[in-house]
Amino acid sequence: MCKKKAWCRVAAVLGTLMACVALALTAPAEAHAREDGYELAAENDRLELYYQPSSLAIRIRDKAAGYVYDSMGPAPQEGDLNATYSGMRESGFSVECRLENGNVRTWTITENGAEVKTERLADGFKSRISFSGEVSFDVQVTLTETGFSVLIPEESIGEAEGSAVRLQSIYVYPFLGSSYGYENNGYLFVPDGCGALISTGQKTIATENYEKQIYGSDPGMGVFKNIVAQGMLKDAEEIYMPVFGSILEERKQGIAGIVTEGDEYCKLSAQVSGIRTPYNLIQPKFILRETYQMKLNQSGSSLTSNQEEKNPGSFGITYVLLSGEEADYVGIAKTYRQWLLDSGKLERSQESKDTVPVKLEVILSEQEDGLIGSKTVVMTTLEQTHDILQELYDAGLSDMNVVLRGYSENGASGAAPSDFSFGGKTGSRSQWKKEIDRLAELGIDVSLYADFTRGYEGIGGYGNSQQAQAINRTMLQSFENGRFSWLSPSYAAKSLNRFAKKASDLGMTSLSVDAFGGVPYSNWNRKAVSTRADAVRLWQEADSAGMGLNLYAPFAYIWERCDAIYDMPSGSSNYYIFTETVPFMQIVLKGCIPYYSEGWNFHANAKLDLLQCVEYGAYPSWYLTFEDSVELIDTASSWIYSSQYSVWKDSVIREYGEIKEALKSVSGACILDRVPLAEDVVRVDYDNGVSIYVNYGRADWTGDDVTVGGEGYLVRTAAADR
Amino acid sequence: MRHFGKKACRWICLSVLLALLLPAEMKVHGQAPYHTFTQGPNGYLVYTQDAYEPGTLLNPGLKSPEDLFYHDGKLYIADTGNTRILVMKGREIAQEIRSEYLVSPSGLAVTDEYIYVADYGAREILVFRHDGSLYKRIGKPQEKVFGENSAFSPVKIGVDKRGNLYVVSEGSTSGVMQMSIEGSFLGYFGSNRTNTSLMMLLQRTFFTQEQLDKLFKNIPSSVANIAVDELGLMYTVTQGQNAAEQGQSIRKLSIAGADLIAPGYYSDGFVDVAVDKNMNIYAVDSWGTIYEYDSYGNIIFAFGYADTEMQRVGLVSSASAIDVSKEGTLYVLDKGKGIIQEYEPTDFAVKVHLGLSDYMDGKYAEAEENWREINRANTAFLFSYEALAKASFKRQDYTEAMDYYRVAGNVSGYSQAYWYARNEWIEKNLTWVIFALIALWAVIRLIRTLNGKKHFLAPVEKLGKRIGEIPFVQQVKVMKLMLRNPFDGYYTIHHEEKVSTLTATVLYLWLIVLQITDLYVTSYLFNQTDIAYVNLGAVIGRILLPLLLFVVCNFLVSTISGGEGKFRHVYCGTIYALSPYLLLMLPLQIISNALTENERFFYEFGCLVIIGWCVILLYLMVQEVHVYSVSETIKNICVTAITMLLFLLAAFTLYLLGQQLWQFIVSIYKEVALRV
Repeated sequence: MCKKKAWCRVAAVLGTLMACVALALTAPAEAHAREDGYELAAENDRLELYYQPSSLAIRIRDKAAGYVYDSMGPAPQEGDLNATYSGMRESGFSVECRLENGNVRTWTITENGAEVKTERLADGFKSRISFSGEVSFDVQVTLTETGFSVLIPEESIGEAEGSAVRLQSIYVYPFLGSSYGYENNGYLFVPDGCGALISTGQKTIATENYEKQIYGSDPGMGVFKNIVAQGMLKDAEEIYMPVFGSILEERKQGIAGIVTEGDEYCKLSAQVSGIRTPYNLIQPKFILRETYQMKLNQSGSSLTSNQEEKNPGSFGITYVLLSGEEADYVGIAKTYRQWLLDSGKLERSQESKDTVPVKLEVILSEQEDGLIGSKTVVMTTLEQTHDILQELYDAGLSDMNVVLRGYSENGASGAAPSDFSFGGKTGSRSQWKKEIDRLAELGIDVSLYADFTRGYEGIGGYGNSQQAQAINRTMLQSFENGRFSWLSPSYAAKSLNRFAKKASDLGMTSLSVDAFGGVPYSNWNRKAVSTRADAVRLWQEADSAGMGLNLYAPFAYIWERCDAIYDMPSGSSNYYIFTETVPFMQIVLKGCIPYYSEGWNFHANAKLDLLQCVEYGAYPSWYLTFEDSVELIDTASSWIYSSQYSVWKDSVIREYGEIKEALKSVSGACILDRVPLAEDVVRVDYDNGVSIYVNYGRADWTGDDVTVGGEGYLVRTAAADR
Repeated sequence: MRHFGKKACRWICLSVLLALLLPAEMKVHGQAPYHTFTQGPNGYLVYTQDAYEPGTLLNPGLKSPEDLFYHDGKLYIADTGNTRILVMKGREIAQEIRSEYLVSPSGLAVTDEYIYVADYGAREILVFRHDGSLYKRIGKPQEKVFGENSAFSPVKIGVDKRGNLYVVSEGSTSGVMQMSIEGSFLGYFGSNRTNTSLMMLLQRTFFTQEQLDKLFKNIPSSVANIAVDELGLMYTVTQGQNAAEQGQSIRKLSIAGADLIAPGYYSDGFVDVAVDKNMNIYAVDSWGTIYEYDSYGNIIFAFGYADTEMQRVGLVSSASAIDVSKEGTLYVLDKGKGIIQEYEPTDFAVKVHLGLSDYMDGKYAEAEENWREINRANTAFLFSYEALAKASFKRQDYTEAMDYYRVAGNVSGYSQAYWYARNEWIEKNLTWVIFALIALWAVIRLIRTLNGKKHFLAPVEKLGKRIGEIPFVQQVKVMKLMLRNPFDGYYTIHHEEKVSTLTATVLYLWLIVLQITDLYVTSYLFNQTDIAYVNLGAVIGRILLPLLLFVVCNFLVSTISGGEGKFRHVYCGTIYALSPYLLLMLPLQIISNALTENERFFYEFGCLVIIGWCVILLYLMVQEVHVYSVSETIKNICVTAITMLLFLLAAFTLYLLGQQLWQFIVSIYKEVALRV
């Protein structure tokens, strides 16, 4: 009895103490939130939104976690920031304007004394910001259940009539989520490639900050890449997803941002302590106008011009505050996935199969310049394709997605963008129809490789009015296994429709389309002018006549149309500034859209790449031909330097078997967490209770009650766990 | 930095200082940012699997470092800007060597005993013991041979096993200085050649000394860097277009100073070279492209390029040195960024290296499976064919070896394999071939004898006779006459007019056919042209255009210089003059398939005889058709040749003008199409 009472007393005392501590912790936080003339704008169960009417700087207090997020970030020391940067830190919004003389200046609310008129809304505030009467726009900041949203409506953005000052871009809360110095326990998240982290806890050796436009910069603005470097180097990755984040303290406190509107015009810039300023920050910037070089004559002199019309659309960002276990990049991924699911841009896949799909790209024929004209090099005939697929099916590859390349007379690279003819040597249309029906009965999906956005030189099938033009009146051309022109986005969408109808007649259910959903470009060809936003919309709404779309490395804007992702990025651009590459995109998409790795024919470290596929949940893919790939050496497909079926058969069956063993248990499941356990060991947890351990090191690893062999993996199911 | 004025500058200075104080290193997992190339068939570079993946970035706080040397698990760095030698073990700084005598250390070589430093600032070579103490200073050689006015500014240094020093002195055009450890000058070694053009020869002959002095001096390019391998062979790299044209960008020199390799691919901007334990050669150019050669100078891998956008791991801004560890890891010193980039060999590269070392040791059979795997991984990997050919050869599978050698483009290997294959064939088949020949001879004799009695072949003979009477056949037969008695032949053409233009045209066509059979029929040994790269138009044009030009010009010239021949005669006569070629070339092409490299003489002599014969007939043609004397004939031929040249000149000018016009029209069309 006595003992119990004593325990009760101790508990009561402890409880009071804890309450006091909690109060002591929160009370100053609340007081801090109100300091410097901040006013409470909105409040809900979890959060309070404060703002400073003069500068529109905000503070959000997370009542439960006790954190205050300040749009200014930590206070600087004397001399850290110059006037412009100080102004940007203190102001909620800043702009870049191009003056009459062509100079671009950054104007901030505090530094330039912008006029701000604010009205309160039920869940936040709405302000009109006017910079010296020259440029003005509305901003709307509203509190949500999990954070807050910022919106700049399109119709509110304006420039004074008769003024030559042009609004170039708008910064939104550039110092929100920033940290100071090198001694933090957090990182910035950048969606470069599959995702990358920038640690804020170490001195970087980089001397350049990260800055890229979401979905790649617009080639329609007339900027082209260095051709030599392009031949020698692989292209750097692009930003696939309009999401970013800053983890202030790992597994404690962080903030995620999702660009909900105007994502195709948004640039992300990640800066770390020591390069320009002592701050670590990631800031979004919306681009309204860009300058470009107008070529004046053959000798190369040019004139800098500015985009006449501003980019269309509103700009919006939703911020989500992360606390506790959610405060890491996995948490950002899950937040982003939830947002995609809620807004209907992504769906959980219903199927949970016992098989694992594989993608096989069969090259039927290719075009080679010969003694007289060009000749068709037949790599795989219909009968050979049939035999190969049957043999692999019998060997256990039951869930195949077969992509045919080079089915037309002119071979894989010689086909016009919307050519839907079948070459006689590799099987006629009616023969293929029969074959496709037969394969469909086995559950093998056959689709045709097509590319509607790129027209290769010397092939035709498109006219002048269908070729895209840059703003400086140059043709939009590039080089990848041959010189090609980008075609007008509307023409691409139309070609897709025409092609899809024909393929549908053939009994196919999906198309494999390259470059569609890639970098959206503006087209300034006067016959079919379209903006970058138009390109995104045209492709999102393209009528595929009921056919499914399998897309190669597509950006997030087209995921809602995507049935499978090919060539899933598995790395970042690996800049000096990055400290880690993470499978962020995989965490978002696993269990929603099936994704396949890049072709496995070209591995230099086969074992490690297989393990990475297992860790990333990516399905395997191969290029196959019946003939020796050396036949392709003088064709545009010379990049396929090993594909002969007889050479690859055993590896395909063996490696597929290994991956199937690992991934069949997580079919249709979502990733819950990814936990590094040692330098070379990682565990991925799925929402169906399965965990996959992957050990990249040569030595065995023991921990978590399991032992994972060197260069091996282990699947632990929920049942085995209990 | 531009935007942030003084304050930011101060901050950056501070951060640089911090970087110097805190050695930082970091590892980023990821794929290679570059494509990797290897030697493919037909002399092209082709894509291949990544051979090296970027590994750790070492950042020990360097400032414009100029050289790096790997020795016994340690990395020695000439940290030029910080006037010190840094020794790193793994990712840690193991030792720092400083000395009052160091000014700007730029070259390094390390042996078990000493660390040799070439210091161009101090104009001295400093030798340190491994404990960091100074052992010796070597200044300018005092020998008279070296020359009192010759500058001594050592920038790079190499040391061989016997302790001889090889010193690259800045701007020295005489080659690499060879010095003893005592500092005595032993001589120059491995200087580059100069190229002498016709223009230079003319200038030298006709210019005065004053004029010559004003010209650029034609001096050999100075060596940029050196490496010395375990056998004491020296490797040099030289920058510049001049050296590249001479094939001296990268050299492997024998003890006698002769070139041992002649790589097909190289850069004109090589800054350093290194050799591994298997004698594979690694060279890096200032753009950061790394070339790996095997010990014979075949290019095995090439990859990398300068950073053109944001800084990517694995790309360098300005490379200054390369070295390779015992495990095969490459270290590239980035002078621009002041860091060291590691490159780790992939499984694929390890496999290739193993294959190469087996190949070098002559273990062709043992290496076969390995090379077969490499070949499977990349069917365009040229060296795999060479290795597989050697293996097949060793297994005495000569036909397979021939196939591999042919892909590898190794003519002598092919010939050797063919020699054996032919021997085998002869051994196996000689008996029955002889029997068959005897039997054939007997049968023919028998038929002839019987036919003499019974005349049962009469209808066939009659048919043959009738075919012989067809004018076309008779006209073709004139060729036979040309071989036996060209004077009669030309008489037939000129005076009897027995040869029609049509027949001559058919013979011209046959000439074209022979060009094509040359591609298909002639043995690989004597014609390595790859049909895939042949332009039919060029093949036809090459033979037909000069001939027709000759016909036209000769006719024009002879009409004004009293020649009797009509155009028809020149046209027909010319092709009949080529009768030896038309009749004998195909048999020679067929016979070439039975020959090896050893019997090359027969084929080449055959070709020579045929062509010589044709030339004589052509001369006779001019003389007979136009009824000229010898002197008139020679004069006519000379004038014809000059006329042909003038024609070509006119055609070339017209072509240039036409092209300008065409470009003008195209650009107008494009402009209109673009804007309307």
